[in-house]
Amino acid sequence: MKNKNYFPIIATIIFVAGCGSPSEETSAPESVAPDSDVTAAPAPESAPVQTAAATSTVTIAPGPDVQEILQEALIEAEPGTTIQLEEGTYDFILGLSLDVDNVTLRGRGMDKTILDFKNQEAGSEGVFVTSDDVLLEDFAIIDTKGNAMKSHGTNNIVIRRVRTEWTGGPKETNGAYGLYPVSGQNTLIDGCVAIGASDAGIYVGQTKHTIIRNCRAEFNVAGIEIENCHFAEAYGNIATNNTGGILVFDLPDLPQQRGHDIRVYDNKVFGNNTKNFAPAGNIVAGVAAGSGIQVMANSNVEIFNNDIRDNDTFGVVVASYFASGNDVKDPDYYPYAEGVHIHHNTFGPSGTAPKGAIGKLVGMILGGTITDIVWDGIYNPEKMKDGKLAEEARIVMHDNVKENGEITFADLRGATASADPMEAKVNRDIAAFTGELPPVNPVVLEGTD
Amino acid sequence: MPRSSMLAILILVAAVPAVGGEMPPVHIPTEGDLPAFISTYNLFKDSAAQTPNDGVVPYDLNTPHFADYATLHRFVWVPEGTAIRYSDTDIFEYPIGAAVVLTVSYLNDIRDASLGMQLVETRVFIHRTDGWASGQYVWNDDATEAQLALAGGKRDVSWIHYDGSQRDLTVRVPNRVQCKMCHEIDGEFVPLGPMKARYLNKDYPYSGGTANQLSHWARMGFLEGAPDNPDDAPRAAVWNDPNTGTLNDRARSYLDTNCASCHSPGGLAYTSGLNFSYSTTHPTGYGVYKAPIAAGRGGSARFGIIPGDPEGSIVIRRLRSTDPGVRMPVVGRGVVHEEGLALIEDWIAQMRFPELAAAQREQDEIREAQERIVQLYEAETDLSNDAD
Repeated sequence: MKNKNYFPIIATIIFVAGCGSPSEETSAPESVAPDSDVTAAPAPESAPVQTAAATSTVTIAPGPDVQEILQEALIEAEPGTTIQLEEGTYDFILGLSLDVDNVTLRGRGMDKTILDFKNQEAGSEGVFVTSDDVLLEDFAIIDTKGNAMKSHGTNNIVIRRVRTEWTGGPKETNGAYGLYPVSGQNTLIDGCVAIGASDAGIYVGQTKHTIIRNCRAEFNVAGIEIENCHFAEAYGNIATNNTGGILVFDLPDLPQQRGHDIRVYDNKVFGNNTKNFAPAGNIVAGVAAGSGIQVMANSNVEIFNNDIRDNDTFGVVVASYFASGNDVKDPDYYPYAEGVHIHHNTFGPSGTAPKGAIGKLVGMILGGTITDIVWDGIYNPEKMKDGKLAEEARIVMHDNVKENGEITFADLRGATASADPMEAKVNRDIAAFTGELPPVNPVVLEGTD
Repeated sequence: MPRSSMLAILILVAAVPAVGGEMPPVHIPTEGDLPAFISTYNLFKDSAAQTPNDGVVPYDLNTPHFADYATLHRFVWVPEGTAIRYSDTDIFEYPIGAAVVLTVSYLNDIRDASLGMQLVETRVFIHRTDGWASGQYVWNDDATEAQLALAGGKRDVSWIHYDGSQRDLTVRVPNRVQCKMCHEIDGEFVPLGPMKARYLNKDYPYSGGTANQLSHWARMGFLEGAPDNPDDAPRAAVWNDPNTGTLNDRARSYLDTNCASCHSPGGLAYTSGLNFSYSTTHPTGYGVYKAPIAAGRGGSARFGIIPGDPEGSIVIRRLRSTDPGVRMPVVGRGVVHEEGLALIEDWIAQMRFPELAAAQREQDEIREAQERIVQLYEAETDLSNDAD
């Protein structure tokens, strides 16, 4: 019988000096938790609470045992520890996990410190974080088998200048998510780059208080996806060459539902025409290639100051969950999009060559070219009184600009949920939908709950 | 103290084997760092054979989780004069100082335990005043000593499988964080094995004769509150014994022990909305016509479970895969559990939910009608976009 034993490494001191060895040093206290600019709103008192403990830095460089060395460092870290990853490419065959509060994992730049998982054998993530007050910055996670980076239930995580990428281009066999914080609160994703995810490049799900800003998402199925979130905003991002640029979705059968209070502004959303390469069955597999900004089944959404162009199917589309084609079995689920306020966006060409099942359907309904803004027209009948939707349930728009032309809009009046879609009386009268809603409050991140 | 000198001392201490004579009593420290070597606990009279020390009681489960065809040796130990508190439905309450021990081993021939085994690791869970602590200890080649491995580890094993073929496997010992992925419920770290009446309620071949485990524990004085007659306690079906329950009971027990530690309220994967707890009654909860949320490549099908269609069900694709981005569970499974997979395939093949099926069919018919209309339209207008 073969019985070969690899004795595990049990303490950091086992590592001999040299390449791949960590060195420990104690430094003066420094701010290793999120910086004060984590707060987007001008409310200085809401800056994250810093732990006053002295901090120590563990420095790690690429080397043959770096899997064990880094995982050991992540496990043994005391709150306040910074793990500094030097420049170079690190090969991992197992996912890494962090479960210690107030730890910083820092590289030397998203193009200089590369965490390479192309030979990954186990772990559904490259980096998995379950602790609070964590800062990840200045490194890249590439070619993971599953998600690149996931956090679960974290309070106050900052992901800054991290790149996630599948280097073989958009493929169905790529991992699902690049950056994937789920079910936590106070999440900041800042200056990150996400490329090639077979679901979403940057995804936040079931979180509360989330900011995604100044990121670039490219060649993913969904560039940026905000799903079942309360209080989230995406601004200053570039979403291009994805199947869909920015998605704001709410789905049934989940612990946190009724996505609401979402702001999408100052983003550049252009040329999102990559063929949908999501595995069949995923919710984003139904996203039409050529989609700019999609809102599904969320309430209180404000979309403004975005530059939206050259998306072949949809510029901005607002829909109920009935667009998904799935029967709703969850009695607690609210399938309607309500209170969506679209203003001061600039549109370039849009909807000129509709793609995907839903895109082709809408293209047919609208006679070939899809309007800049589309609403599926499916509303909660309980909110309709005397032919008028309750104010807070309306879809309204104003001051949107179309280059070289007039902004166009269509209310599909439920056509996409009908077996006879051409029977619906589409309403293209943008005047009936011109109006304002109160602004959605900015997201404020707080250091502690 | 620098770690290096601490480690050196530990190695010296641990290097002294207990030779002959009286076996010292079990020693379960309830504070401080975990011992670096398993011998400190005095758990085994003969570690290679997993013969327990006095007071260390072996146990078994009705439907254990699958562990890559490992043979698991399970033990409990409670301090003299204390007892575990029984519950019908909740997890048992263990006294402070109690220990739960699980050894992962591979029989040289899975068909014949008498041909010896290879020990991989032993996990020791200790109930301390600040909660359960645990360490995983990786065995040396002679199975005489095992060393604490909080960062995990790996070990190559091979065995003769049921069909007589040789199987080789690199077993991954999970690291401390991975341990918590399954063992943390509502933020509290717990051992999963000996916690529920329904899985412990079975016979065990003790050296003094076969007896029901709950009755035996009560008779030994370390389980209180259990019904006098074990037939009055809940009892899970044995996943691979049709005499113990219906196909549905056995499949649900299998999913409960293999999936529900994460896929249940308070578990790490509850964000998927799936709840594989045995107590889940709403079929969408355990995946029936439930659309995937963030399943990635593992979700390459429309629903978790499509009644009557195992091939089209994500659950089956997950169980059938060893790809790290697809397989479930994500931790602790590196090979396909052929027999467990067959059970769940059977269960789904025979499953029927006519009303849910009809509702979904209605949606699908709308979709199909739309597609036909779009096709006709495109044929007429020659508005064909080849790319999707």
